[in-house]
Amino acid sequence: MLGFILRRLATSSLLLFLVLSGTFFLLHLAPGDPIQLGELHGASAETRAYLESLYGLDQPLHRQYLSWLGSVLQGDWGVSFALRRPALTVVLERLPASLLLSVAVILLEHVLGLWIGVAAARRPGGRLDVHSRWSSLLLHAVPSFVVAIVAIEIFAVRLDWLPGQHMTSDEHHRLGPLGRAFDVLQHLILPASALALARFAAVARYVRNGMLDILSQDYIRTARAAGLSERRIFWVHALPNCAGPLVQRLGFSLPGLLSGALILEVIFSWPGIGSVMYDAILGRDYPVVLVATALSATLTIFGHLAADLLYAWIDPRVRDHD
Amino acid sequence: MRIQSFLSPVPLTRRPRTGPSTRSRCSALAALPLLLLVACDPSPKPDGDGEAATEGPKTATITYAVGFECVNELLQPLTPIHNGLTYYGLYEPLAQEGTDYSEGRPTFHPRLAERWEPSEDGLAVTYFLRQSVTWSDGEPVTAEDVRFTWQAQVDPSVAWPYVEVKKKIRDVEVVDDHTVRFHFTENYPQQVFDSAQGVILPSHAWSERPFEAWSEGCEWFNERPVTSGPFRLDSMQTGQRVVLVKNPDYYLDGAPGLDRLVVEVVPERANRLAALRSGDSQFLEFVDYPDAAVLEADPEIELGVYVPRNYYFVSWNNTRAPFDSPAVRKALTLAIDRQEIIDSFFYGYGKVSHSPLASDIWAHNSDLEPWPYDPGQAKEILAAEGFTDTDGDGILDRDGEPFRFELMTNSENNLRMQIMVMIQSQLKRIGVDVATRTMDFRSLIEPMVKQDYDAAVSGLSISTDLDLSYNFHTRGIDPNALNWAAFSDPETDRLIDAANAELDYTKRKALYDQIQVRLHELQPVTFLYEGQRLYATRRPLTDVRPNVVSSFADMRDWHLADGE
Repeated sequence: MLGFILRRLATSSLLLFLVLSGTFFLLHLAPGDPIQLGELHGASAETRAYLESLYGLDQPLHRQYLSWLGSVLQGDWGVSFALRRPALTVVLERLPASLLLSVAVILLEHVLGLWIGVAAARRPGGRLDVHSRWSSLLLHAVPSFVVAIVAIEIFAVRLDWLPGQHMTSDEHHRLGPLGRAFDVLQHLILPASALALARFAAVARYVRNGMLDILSQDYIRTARAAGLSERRIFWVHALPNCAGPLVQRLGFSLPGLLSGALILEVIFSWPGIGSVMYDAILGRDYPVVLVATALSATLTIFGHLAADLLYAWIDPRVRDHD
Repeated sequence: MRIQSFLSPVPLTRRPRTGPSTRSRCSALAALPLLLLVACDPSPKPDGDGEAATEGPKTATITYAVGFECVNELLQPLTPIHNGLTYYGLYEPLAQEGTDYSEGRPTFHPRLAERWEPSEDGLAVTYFLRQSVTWSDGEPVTAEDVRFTWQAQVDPSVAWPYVEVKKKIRDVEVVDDHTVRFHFTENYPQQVFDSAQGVILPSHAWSERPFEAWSEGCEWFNERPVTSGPFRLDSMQTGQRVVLVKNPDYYLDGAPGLDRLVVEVVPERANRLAALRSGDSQFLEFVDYPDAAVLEADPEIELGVYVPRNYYFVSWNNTRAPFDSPAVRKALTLAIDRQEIIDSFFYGYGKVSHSPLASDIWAHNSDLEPWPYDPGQAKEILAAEGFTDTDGDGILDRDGEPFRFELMTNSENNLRMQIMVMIQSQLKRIGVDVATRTMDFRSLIEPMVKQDYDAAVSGLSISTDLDLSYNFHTRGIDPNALNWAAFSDPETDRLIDAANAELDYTKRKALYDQIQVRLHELQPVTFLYEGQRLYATRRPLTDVRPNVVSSFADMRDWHLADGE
């Protein structure tokens, strides 16, 4: 098992390195540079020259790459050109908000998906199964930003029940710890639900089909023959067998979740990394783009790794085989 | 003000944007605003703004497109990102540019300086500071601060992007605590403009920080919020909002009019519009033309307009045939129906232009008429230039080569993309085959400054001092300047240099008139339109008057209407 983990860690790190190097060269090859006139219209040649040397842009590309690589290995990701702050800080400062939203979405989508999927599997062809099938298909087909807009319109504008913008209220810093948590939770409900609604449908179908598959297996029939209660068969013997593929699916869906969240962050004015990354790309703010890329690549690669490990842990067959 | 970057470095929507204070972001959701308008009709809540009007602090809430990444952008004002809140809310310039540029050079209004006077020889300007102004930590604002600010602005390691305005300042001399003298390298018209440009920084608090360390980051400044403007920083939540509160020690009685100003960061345009309509915000800096009608119908909302000092054009690459011929460029202008563009996209807020100087600028040549839409004459000119349809395929050709070129614009700007497509179809009518291409702004600029393109729809702003040398002088053919068309005409160069040096305004006006005639005749670019800028305020917030200087130039005068 340890060898498996080490091997996977090694390949994951190599992959991360390749992704980052690729991004580095693609970024620098894209037309436009960070000190291109733009906001610096009117800047003197000396200012430009100073900035170029400050950011190392006057060096040949391979030199830039090597010195960038050297700094990164020492943990220095450079300074954002536009914000004049360490790029790592710029992104990491926004990370908690993005992570909070993503974790909330994963929780919600799986609670909802498991619940509806299991309920549908109990009575295949029943009313719940049929209705959940078309409604989840519909929700899956509608982009999450449409769900988001409708949710804002209904719950934030018309009913005025929940805040539809930002992560905290303007009195947040004057609240106590409990008040702050409640404040954030209130703001979290709409964006997390909007994204989870669009995503839970897939989980529900996955669980339903997986459960039906498992329920038709011999060992379940044996369990029934042995007189185990239907409830016990369902929750103790069938459902855990469904968990493995579900966990793996989660690993694969992480990148989708991240990109989906970026759009919702803009709609809900959520202070996550979405808008920072967008600006950085348009402004050719290389250090920020590279940090953000490293972050999402890490999450994706290690999300897969974690999913595989979890799967192996859940399903001895995978582990032993390996 | 002169500190203006060109149009839409990072534009959001169809609205042409300009100026550093409007750095905005774009969402990928082009269809979204439409959806939101259909889905949500935020019917005004009758008591929506009641909160703002009740007893207690007079609070206004506005929405802003830009995320405040860091206090840096507010507290260290010499970074590339520049916003009006910092300039006019937290800090103070020596003097502020007025909006009376229709009659002549704009006058300047006293801010930190009570008054100023030029020297006899015209090589210096002396500013007399107000006696009683203090920084938020209680220290007085002195002449030393003014000198320190200049040193920071021109220090290469601070890398202030707008340092160019200070290039003719030789020295800043501290005469006494409240008197400071700017020495210039020559006598020229924009001395007050150049010396008053930029806000004054706290020397006593910041001078211990070596200039080399200023570009390292904002954390240091973050811990030293020393300001002198009408407002102070109350709190900030990254990416969400900034709260400003009244500076109780502000030198001007009764100012600012607001006790508290909440600036909500709302990246999505439709959300900013919805917030205004529902009463959650009372000011929208930019209103898109299609949204104007619905806002105008709301009795609580007041719509305002001004003409920005911008011009919009098709840039022809003058170094590349056939655009190297003035006759061909003029023919193309005649073939572009600019009135149709305005009727289609401007909802009554634009008009055809013929000059880089907008019609309400004193130097505008009102004797000139824009070239008419005349496809017949366009075809005649092109025929005289050798372009005829010899093979009958509907496309003009010359020496066997069809008249075919690529027209580009930046993809962040919906309006420009629509205009580009309309021009494509209009030129098709006279037999010119246009291929269109969009790319993001930075990618677009690269080929343009290298003259590696055919033509592009773009826009630029004109500085307060109307220095056209960046845009139309041979000197402007430079990656750092803006003569993307690579227009080079000795006569125009001479006129621009003469206009920039002329101290007498009547003579200067005559020179500008001649420059505009020259540009009109030679059409280095096709001037398209003059578009108004729309903004909206919602009761009870009042006296909000965005203008070409900044949306926030008058923010110390903002207040809540009585009886609300």
